[in-house]
Amino acid sequence: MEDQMVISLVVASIVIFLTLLAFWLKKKATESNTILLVGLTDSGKTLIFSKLINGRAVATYTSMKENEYPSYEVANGSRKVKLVDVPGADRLRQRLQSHWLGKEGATVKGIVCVVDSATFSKRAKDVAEFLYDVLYESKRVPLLVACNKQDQSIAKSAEAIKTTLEKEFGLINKTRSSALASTDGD
Amino acid sequence: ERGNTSVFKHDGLTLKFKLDNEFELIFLVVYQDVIQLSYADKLLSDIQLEFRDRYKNVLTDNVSLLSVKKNYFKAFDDVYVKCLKNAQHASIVAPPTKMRQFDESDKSKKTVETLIVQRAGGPSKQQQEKEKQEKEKEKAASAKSQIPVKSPTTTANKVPSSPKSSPTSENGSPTADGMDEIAKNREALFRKMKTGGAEGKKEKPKPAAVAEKGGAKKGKQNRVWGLSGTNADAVALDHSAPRENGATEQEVDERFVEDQRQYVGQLKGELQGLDEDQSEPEGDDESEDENDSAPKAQSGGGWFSAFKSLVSNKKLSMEDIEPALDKMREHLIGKNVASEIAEKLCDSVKSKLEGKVIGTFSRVASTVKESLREALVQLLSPKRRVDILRDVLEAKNQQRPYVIVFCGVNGVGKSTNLAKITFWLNENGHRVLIAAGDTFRAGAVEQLRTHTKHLNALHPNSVQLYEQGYGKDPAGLAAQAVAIAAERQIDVVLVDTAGRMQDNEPLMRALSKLIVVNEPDLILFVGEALVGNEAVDQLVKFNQALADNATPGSKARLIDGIVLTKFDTIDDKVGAAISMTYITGQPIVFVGTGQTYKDLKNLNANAVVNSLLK
Repeated sequence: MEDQMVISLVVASIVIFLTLLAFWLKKKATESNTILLVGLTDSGKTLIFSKLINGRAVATYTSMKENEYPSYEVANGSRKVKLVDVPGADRLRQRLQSHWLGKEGATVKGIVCVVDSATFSKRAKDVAEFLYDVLYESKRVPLLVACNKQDQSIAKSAEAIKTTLEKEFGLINKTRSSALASTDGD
Repeated sequence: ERGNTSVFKHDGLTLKFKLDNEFELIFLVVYQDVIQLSYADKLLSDIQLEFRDRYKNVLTDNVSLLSVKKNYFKAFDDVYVKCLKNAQHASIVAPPTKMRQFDESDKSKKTVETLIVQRAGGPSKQQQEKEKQEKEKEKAASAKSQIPVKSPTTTANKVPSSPKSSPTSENGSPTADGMDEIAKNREALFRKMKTGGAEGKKEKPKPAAVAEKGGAKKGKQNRVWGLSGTNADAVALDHSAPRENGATEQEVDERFVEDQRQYVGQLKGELQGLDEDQSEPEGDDESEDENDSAPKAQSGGGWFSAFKSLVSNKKLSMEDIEPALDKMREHLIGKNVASEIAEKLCDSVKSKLEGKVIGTFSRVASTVKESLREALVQLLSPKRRVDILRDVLEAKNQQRPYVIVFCGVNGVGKSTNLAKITFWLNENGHRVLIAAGDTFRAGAVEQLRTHTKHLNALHPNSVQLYEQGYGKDPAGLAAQAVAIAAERQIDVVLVDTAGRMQDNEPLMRALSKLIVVNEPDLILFVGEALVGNEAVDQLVKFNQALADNATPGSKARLIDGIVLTKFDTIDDKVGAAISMTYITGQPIVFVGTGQTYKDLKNLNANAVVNSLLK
């Protein structure tokens, strides 16, 4: 009789332990602690990434794969976040949408969109469309638009970029709403 | 999506690259085209092995990789110089193949008598054949001995050891295979001649000659055509007289009329025109269908992922990937992807997956499928912004009309889809001028005139037609149309061209001239979704013709976008979309799904890939 009780107690405690372990692991997997660095190509994401981590600038090339740094300490050292530098190449944008904003969307804590202020006037339409897509996919995630390369003389100021983007968003709204319906999976 | 090639040429420079999938590195050798480095491949593989061995520990761990000291990899410079020297030495050391001296050749062994050509006569012919036989024997023997000598030297310049250099070893093997085949053929011929000789060669040529002559003497036999009848059948096939059991003509007529009578009264009143369902604006958003595509099976793996890191990982090798890839290739071809394209896609997936490390919980087949899916979606996603309405607004701001040219082979639906696109543009408030650039096909101008009439009935005063009848030069016609559009402040000009086969040289030149003269904003290639392997040929030749006939010195205008038509006729064999985007690298801008004005849609990459991989 006592043996039975002991056995049942042991089994019960094991079950409880396993359940707690499962909950803890699930929470860990979907914990939101990722910060994404996104933007068009050549906007300076990888350089910012390496400067944040190492404090020094490296010579960078066009990224083809994401750079992930799992334990970046936020300024006052209270939290550790994962920094991810997502390549800006057009062909790889699908991966940004489907993987980072889609599948792992829950783990994204914040997004930093890096904009190249020097070439902004030429690429305003592309920047606006990119930002529009990112905003559309990410749900209620705080987003910062970082206007990079301000040291160059032809760089636009933050206010100018802001007004241009707002105007472009208006136009994009109008054209997207009158776009054609897409083919259904046939 | 060009993972299957390992060489890239641009601007006088050649780039050779090698993917290392385990550590996700790319090794790249860049040199000028004129130099033609022979040791580039060997250098690449040596460097790769050295780098991996030295920095294996650092590369696997992201944290340490990203926080290394400034000149951590500087020690590799010496290793690089050493490897470079080795590779250069290896390429020089291999001697060129030595030519045979005259004494060793066969010609010196022949006597003068055998070289004299005799008229038709038995004995000398026999002697010639004997000489030929001996020559074959010698050639077979010498070919066999030459092959082991030749193959090491041809492959010495290529990669010897690394198993990962599959693209380059495939480059080296065709020559060795060719020699093998020649040797095999010679063996077979020699064997055949030997057995023929043993039985008495003299009889062999004679019976053959006799048989031919005997056949000629028999006289011509009447040809029997398989499927048509002879005179004897004519009686049975004659239905002009009334038969006993069949109905007479009059009775058949009456039966037909009775059948049709049920339809009388149903089409009463006005015909239900195109008007009723056309006037509503196309307001659907395009991203509704994207969310169901992501494989939902991964949600359960959310807390498995922590366990995964504890389980040992498996490295993928060729043998693991091959069967899965073959099955995928067959599947793609079954879905109407052109066979060359399916081949190239599978090769690129192979080069991306080789050596990759996957957790043992995931199966090889599913990894291959995922990788293929990613490659296909990446292929179908446009690499530049595709928003025609935005560009039209831009052109409006600049006070000039936006010109679109439609080209394609015969019968794909250029005029029909031109009308649909006009309708869509009218819905969004833009005025359109249609230029009837098809001055060849009978009825082309009338067709466009009818469309204009319909469209104007739906949206008053929004479409105008510019035509000059038949037989005129389309390039000049288009130029005048653009001038008139600028004058009348019309927003968009759509230029229809005649359908032309891709290998019709003068017509392709004419198309190129139209494009060079008018410099349109958008050149759309119209292709039907039913096309199979032909798509590859069409697009390659169209692009080639446009590139060849461009003005020298300026950048050639190639195809900017694809209109995929007749999409409703294929249910899920959507492979033509893949073939076309792969060849041109340009996005699919419109999809035509029927013959009425509302049947125009955008391409949904995820939906197409889903139906491809279903």
